[in-house]
Amino acid sequence: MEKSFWEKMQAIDRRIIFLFMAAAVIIPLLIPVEPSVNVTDRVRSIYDEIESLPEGSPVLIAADFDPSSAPELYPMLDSAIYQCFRKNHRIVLTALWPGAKGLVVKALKDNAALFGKDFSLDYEKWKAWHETGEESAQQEKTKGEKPDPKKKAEELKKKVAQLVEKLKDKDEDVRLYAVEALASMGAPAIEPLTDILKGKNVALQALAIQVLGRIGDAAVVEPLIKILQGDNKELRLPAAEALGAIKDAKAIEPLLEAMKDADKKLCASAAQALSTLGDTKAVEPLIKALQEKEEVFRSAAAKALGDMADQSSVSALEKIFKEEKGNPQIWSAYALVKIKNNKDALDFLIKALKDEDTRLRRSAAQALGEIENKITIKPLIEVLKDDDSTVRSSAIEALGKIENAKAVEPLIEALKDTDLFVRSTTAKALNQIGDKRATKQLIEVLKDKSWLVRYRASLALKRITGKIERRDYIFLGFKAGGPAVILSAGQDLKGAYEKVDGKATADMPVLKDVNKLKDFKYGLALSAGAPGIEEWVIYGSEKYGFKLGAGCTGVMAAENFPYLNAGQINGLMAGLKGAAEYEKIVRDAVQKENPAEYERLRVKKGGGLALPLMNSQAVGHLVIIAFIVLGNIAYFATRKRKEG
Amino acid sequence: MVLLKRQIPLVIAFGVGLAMLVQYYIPHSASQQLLTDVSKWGTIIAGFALVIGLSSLLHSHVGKIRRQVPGWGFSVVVVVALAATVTIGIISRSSTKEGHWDGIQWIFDNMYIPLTMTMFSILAFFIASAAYRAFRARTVEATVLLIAAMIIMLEVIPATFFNWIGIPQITGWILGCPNMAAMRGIKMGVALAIVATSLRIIFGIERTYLGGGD
Repeated sequence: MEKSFWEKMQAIDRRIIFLFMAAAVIIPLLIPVEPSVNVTDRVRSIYDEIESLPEGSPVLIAADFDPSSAPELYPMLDSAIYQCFRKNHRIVLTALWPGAKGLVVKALKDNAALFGKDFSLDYEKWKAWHETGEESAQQEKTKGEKPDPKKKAEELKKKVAQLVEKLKDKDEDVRLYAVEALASMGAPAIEPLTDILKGKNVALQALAIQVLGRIGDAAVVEPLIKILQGDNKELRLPAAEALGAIKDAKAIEPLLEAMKDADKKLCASAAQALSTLGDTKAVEPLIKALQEKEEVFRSAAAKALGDMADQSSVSALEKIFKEEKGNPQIWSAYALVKIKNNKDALDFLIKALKDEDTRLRRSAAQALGEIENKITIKPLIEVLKDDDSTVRSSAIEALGKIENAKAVEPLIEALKDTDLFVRSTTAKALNQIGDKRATKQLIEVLKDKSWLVRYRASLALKRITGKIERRDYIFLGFKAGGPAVILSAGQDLKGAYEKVDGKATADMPVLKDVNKLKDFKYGLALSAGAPGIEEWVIYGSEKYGFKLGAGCTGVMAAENFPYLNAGQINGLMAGLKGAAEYEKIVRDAVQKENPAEYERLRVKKGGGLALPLMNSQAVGHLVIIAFIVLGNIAYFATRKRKEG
Repeated sequence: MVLLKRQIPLVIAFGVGLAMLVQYYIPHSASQQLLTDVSKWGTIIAGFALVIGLSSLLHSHVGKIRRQVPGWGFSVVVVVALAATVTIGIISRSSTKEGHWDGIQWIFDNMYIPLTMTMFSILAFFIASAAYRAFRARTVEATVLLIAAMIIMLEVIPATFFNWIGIPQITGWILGCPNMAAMRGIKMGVALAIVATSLRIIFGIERTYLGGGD
């Protein structure tokens, strides 16, 4: 009997099915269409948990899979590492599967490179320059001890007190270092600094005000306003500057009042502070101030009007630019460039860099630094040979603000300058530019006799080097044993993993205060089977009490839902879809917060690792469904015929 | 021989098993130290499994090559690949630093990953073929399974129509209710079986782990 159509369909050659599947997978890859991915709560909760952790939190990522499941799990690993690096969390990676090692190393390398990691600088070198400060000495002393919040607070208090003492040092270099270090400490330094304001040491009080301004906490606005309105001339000036830096609206009226003061230096500081506050009430008094006798006040008013970019002041500024000489002319030229991009004024400023008067050369360099125009890079580089160190410093500061890579080589040379302020400004400028060509020279500068130079060089190196192995992340490697390894790490992490690449884990800053699994603020188990999520739940998070999220292959999703429902894992990324959802959340956040970083990410990783595969998966599923439906129609049609 | 192959292992299993059982209920530092030490021992012993695995692999494949059984050429590939990987690993010391050629990573990236992925991705083709031939609505149970599977597969398709007819919600219900109920039942059953088997091992009733013969 001749076979019917449906009987023929039932016996279809499998190669035809293979062909359809191949087309379903390949065609969507060749025609890139942005996939539409709905983000589920179970994936978002993992992202939110990592986002909510304080900066520097230790996060555990268990990569328990091999290349066979990499299309689904590797994008999860990659996105998790990227998110943790962005949040400056400390990442600790483990593997219970031998095949995971290469994948983890690749994900770390790729992401560390995105964050500017310099592979030529390892932790040993970092430690060498970190040891120049006091911090590492403290770390060495407390190594291996259990974290104690009280003790930590005491140590912080002690450090603030030490730095406050340094504010009294005879050496200006030490005092300046203390100002910067205290300013970077933020909130913990406010109370002791406010206490200084109640004392009688005016020089110390002035420095304390300077630091408080740089910390920028609104809580100190009232005491600073009192000082501004007080009698002490030496303190009113830094108070005005600090109020400008804090940018609190409460300071506008007192600063406007200060502009009427007999002390014209104070008027100038108040004018400058008002420009940073950007309140239009300041415009009229500032235009009036352009008529004042004192050069310092007129210059400050012109600069302030330029900073506020107020059009109504143009004619007054043009008058000064054409008719006056000296600093008022420089700053009115600056204002005209800022307000209407006046080419003549810009040319004048560039020309002023070669003026006979040191004061004007310095001001011109400062003004060009504020303008931040790339045209000025070359003339500013030429100024680095100026005889006067203050002019060189101003030019370097300007180059730092412009942040152009062309300035790096001349700045590296400037690190050898005989003047310590030039060297420290150079280190700061190199920090702003963040070019890794300066790494070697900055390490050398860490031996500088100046506190300020060393401090600024260490900050620059911290930025340039990006993510450093053993400081920011560590892959503890593969260990056989599954549950036994988890239990061992739960009891004593540094005992379970005593050494990594021959280096003792006990000495690694990435594991500071992390002695057991419960010390991790969050754990993420990415698993393709056993040992994996189940083992991490039973022997890890449940036994030792730390929060856990999970990612698994699509086929494993069903078996892990009970853990999600019971709250034993706070989120679950399932299969390629879960990976794509997570990737989408991370990318959307980067695009929203930092378009430049997103562009860098897009260039390095294209459309992503999981998102571009979603269309292939969707079409592939549709083809399989179509074949199932077709197969069943054929089955029923032929069955009826047979029964008939 | 019976003492070494039967009685001593049984005593060790009984002693360690009972100690770890009791340890769980004693929150004393000595008890915690015991768990720390035993779990470290566990990882060390697990490490030996790799050595046994390696020797077993070599034993099996070298034997096949020696006897020249059909397909012995594949065994040659296994042995050569093993020797080459170990040699390259020793020569190029594994390093994550740029500028150092990491041989193992190179093998991993250029051979192990593509080969493993290829093997695994072939599954997609066989799944499609098998689904076409075997996934039939022959019984009520098979029909339920078939419909559930199709709905779950539809969830990943980003089409407005599927969202409109509530596929994501139905998927959520399938995974969150019937699936989870079944999975919980299975997991509890497995857990109880593990408890029973563990007790049988501790008390020497279950002895298959000792291997056969005397």
